[in-house]
Amino acid sequence: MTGIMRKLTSAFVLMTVLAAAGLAWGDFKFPPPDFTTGYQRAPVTTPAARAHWQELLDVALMTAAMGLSAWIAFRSRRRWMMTALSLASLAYFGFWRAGCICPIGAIQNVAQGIFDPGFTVPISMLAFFVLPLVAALFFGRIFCSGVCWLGAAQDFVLIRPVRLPMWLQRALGVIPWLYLAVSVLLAATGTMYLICRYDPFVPFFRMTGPWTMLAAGAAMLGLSTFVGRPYCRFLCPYGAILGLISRVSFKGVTITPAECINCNQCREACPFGAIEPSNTVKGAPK
Amino acid sequence: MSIPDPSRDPKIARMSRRGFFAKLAQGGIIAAVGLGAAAIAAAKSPRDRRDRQRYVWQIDPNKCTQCGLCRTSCVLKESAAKCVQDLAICGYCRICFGYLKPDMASATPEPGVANEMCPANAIVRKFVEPPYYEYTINERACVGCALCVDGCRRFGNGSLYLQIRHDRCLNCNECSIAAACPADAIARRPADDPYIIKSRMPERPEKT
Amino acid sequence: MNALGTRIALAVILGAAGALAGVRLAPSIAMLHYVVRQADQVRFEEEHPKSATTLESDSFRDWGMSKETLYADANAVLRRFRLGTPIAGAFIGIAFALVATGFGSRRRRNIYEIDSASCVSCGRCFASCPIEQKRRRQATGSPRPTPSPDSETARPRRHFLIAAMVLSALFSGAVGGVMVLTLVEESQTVTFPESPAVAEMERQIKAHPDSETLKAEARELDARDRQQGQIRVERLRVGAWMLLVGLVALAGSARLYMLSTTLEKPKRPVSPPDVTARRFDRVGQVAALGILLAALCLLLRPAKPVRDFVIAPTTMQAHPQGVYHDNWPSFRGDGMGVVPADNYPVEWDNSGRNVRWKVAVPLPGKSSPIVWGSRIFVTGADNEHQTLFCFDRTDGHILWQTEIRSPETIKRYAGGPEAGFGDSIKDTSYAAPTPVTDGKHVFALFVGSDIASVDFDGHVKWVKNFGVPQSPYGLAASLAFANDTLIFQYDQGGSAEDSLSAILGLDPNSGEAVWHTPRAVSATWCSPVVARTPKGPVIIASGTPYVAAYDPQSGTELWRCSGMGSDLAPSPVYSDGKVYATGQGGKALAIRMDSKDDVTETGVVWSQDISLSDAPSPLATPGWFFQATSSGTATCFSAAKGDLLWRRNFRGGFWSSPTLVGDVVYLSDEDGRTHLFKAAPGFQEVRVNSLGEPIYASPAFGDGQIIIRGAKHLFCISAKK
Repeated sequence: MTGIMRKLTSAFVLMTVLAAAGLAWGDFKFPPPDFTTGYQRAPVTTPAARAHWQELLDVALMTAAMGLSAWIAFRSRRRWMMTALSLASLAYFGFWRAGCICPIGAIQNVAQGIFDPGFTVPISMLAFFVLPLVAALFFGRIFCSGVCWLGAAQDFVLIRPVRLPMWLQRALGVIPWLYLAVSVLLAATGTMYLICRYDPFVPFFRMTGPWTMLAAGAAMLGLSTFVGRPYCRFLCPYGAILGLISRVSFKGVTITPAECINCNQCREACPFGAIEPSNTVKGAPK
Repeated sequence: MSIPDPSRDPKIARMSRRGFFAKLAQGGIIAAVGLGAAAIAAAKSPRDRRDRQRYVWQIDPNKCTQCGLCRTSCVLKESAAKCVQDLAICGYCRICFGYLKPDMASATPEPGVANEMCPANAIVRKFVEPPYYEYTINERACVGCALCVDGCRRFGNGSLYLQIRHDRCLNCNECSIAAACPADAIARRPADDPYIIKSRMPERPEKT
Repeated sequence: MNALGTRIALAVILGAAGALAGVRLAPSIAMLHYVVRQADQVRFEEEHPKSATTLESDSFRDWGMSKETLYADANAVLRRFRLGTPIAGAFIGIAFALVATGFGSRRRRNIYEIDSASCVSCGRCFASCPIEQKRRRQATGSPRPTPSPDSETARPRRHFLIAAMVLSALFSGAVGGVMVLTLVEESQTVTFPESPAVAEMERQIKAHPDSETLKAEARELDARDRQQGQIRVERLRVGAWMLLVGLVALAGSARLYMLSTTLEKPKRPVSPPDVTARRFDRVGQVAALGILLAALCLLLRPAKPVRDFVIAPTTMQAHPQGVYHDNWPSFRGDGMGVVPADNYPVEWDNSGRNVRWKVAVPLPGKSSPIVWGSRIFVTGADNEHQTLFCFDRTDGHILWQTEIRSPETIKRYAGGPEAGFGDSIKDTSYAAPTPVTDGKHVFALFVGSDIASVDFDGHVKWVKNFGVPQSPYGLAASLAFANDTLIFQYDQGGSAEDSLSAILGLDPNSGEAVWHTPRAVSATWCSPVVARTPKGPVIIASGTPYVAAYDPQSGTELWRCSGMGSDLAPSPVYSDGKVYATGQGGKALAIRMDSKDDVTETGVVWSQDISLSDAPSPLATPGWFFQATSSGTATCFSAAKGDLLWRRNFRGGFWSSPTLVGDVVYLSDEDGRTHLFKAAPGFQEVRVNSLGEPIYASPAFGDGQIIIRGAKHLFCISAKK
């Protein structure tokens, strides 16, 4: 850069000569000329930002996907439909819309909106934040299964799940709360959007990004091949909030409780350690 | 399996207490979400209509220091930040230091690839009338390196400056150029007025 | 209840620990904020003047924002972190405690039941449930036997899936490899402007500027480079999509393969519940969590915590000449009327454009407003009152007002409203002297020589009277401040021979005279100014017939220079080693500062007598010297030789003094117009803004705001919302 500076300095000398010739005084160093040939100045082009209706469309699509997800989980009960829905939303929200905005990141907008009087949360952003929470209160984490594109990416590559020991799950399960507290603190102080900056999947959705984040995302996806949804369970702050609300949800996904034969198949099938074995019914394993 | 009498089975009674707390929590969450959303909406709505609007990212040309990070920091391979030319304040100089490399301008004051400041040949020079030339940006070619911005701001009127182009910008929630910007020049701006037009700004004397 | 007790106790302990950790970590975490980092860097560079600057600190200097504003912003961020980090810490601590004690997760179950908090409703469980499968078969009425893993169809299907996995893995690997190679190639390609090939080309073209072949070659080289770059970009873009397709195929075929083999697995014996895991020592859990917490704290801890940003108590000496950003502590800032550009508005009008607020000043006066922090001080007086007003800078409401009258004045006024100075007072007003502040107290002076020290809350600390001046207009000289001494120029008497005049240095704490230097001059109405020379501050006081320099420590006269006119009102100014003094009936003099004794013969650099100022003080820059008169003439001279560069007559007369803002001169006239023109050797008007109300006082500038005192109102002009 020093070379450039030197060139610029030499140019400055030249300029001074020009200035001395009386060219360079005025409101501007070079007053915009008045043209005699009828030349018209073109204004600065201003391509518009994404329209509001497009954002509302995203909200509508997310709501529809959540409805569909609830229907699959409670009525249709078909696993392949859930997979198909999650892949569709991975394709649209993840790859087509490049991962932004998402309810996880919206935590920060809402936090900043509350604590920073000069900052407002657009209605679409607020909807992205609130709707999955409301849905969780009624149906549990149906957002995570059918809609969340980060979860879909992890779930899709989950090839051979291993069961983590309970104590490790529990210990790691505290990280989302820590992450939530720190990211809310940083968003509320207007420092940065931690969750967005270190979102390991968004570089994949955009197919570009700093190599460190691409590597982190690759590592996270690699981990996802044998640990079920590591980001959702051990990092995602929104998942933590959803989990808390789901605990008291009106409805929850059930297996076929009336006719349980204690075959343990469901527990084996769950890669997320969500199914606890029976411990009171007669004949249950001790 | 017969259905046990809830009042006599301690386990079931326990469950129903849980159920009671669950109901309480449900009510609490509904109230919290409702009140929270209402509070956010109410706190922001009456002051200013603009407040309700959405935001996009934009570069403040007065804060920009032409460090060149816009070119490399955007999540897009081809940065969303590009140079714009505000012709209303352009001096239409014959020797434009946004266009020509300073020393080359003195050596060969005619344009030619090697004389041009722009690494992408994105500045188009057109003769208007003596002695004026029009300089415009070929946005498809522009890489947002800010070399021309620097030249124009130092020696000219500062009519060339960087703006985030919203036909390209993904409007990430955390703009990675903003995160990298050493001058904190990138901030959110109402989406219905997403550009800063220098000629319409209140005048601020350019630094020389 | 025991478990509940443990839970609460642990929550309290860990919550408190988290809050404490938050208190400790707050100043470190705050460094993540841009403004704090920038302020810290700016402070570091000030404390270590030889250190290299960074882009952050450079851009701060480029913005033209004041250090005070930056520090205030940074402190505001720090305060937020001081409050927020302990709350976040306590939250984390409580969350740890609750998770460690298994809050809400330990309960008795009657059946295989889903923990709703961890379930993401993916549907794997009911898809694998044999009862559910049976139910579904019955519902759909298609009793399909479970395909045997060893069946004729299953085996080729698995072979196909294995082949697909291998192929897609190979494909992805190949694509990934090409992309990595491209990225490596790209990272090694030096592009403009550092490219050595282009530099070599440039050198040759400069050596042979007429060679068209060279230029053509350069063009070709450039085009080739760019084309290759374009190819790389395109390769990466297409490669990314291909890689995605490959990886999706790989993951998909692997998933399908696993699905087909799970059926093969013998039904696992039902494993007993993970008793050991569930019994995993609470102590162990807490320890694991503690280690985790400690590790995260370490990770989060940036290199150093940041200290609070303290603005050194700014007495006026702390500022170099002419550098005022937010504060405007005396007449014309520091007496010279020069401010750096700071986004001051150039347009306003009486319809309210850029007028942030406008408030009435209850009492008249031609003294100028001064500004410190969020306060604006203005004096006003008539033949009954002498009042100091303090206005709020943000919205202009009067924070307080204090009546200032010494016992002598009260006695003098006891017989009812008393004119004291005759009709001529109308030209100057009862409140002509501008007050001064040291950042802790305001010192106000009124026409009858009442001086008071008032603290920032409006309490009068002391008030003194120096006797009714023998002067047809009363006192008009503003106060000044030098080396913690209050400077009071007390010129009176009809002629120099009366020997009544003096200049006094007052102790700001008591108002007692520290020194008293007699002056052989008649009554004047110009203000003393403090020139901040390389050798330290020097007081300059104009007078009839001489302008003199005094040492602020002892009051000793350093030099004097005769040639000044009579009925003097313009104050002297200092710029670039020269003192400029002017006034009707005499000469405008440019005097070398480093003079001694009587310099009338030796120290004058130039003098001239065209359009001498009668009321406004002049303005000097290293290049030019401006004067204005009450008849509406403004002139510009070269500072080096005193040559008249331009003269211009305006409709309204000037009483207010000009201010240089960046490279624009702001000069207000008695019709309420403020003329903005370039400080340049030719007159170039920038704009004329009208407030529709006569302006006699000089405006105060600070933080992008202009405070203008009109005849009846105080205006805050600001482009900021």
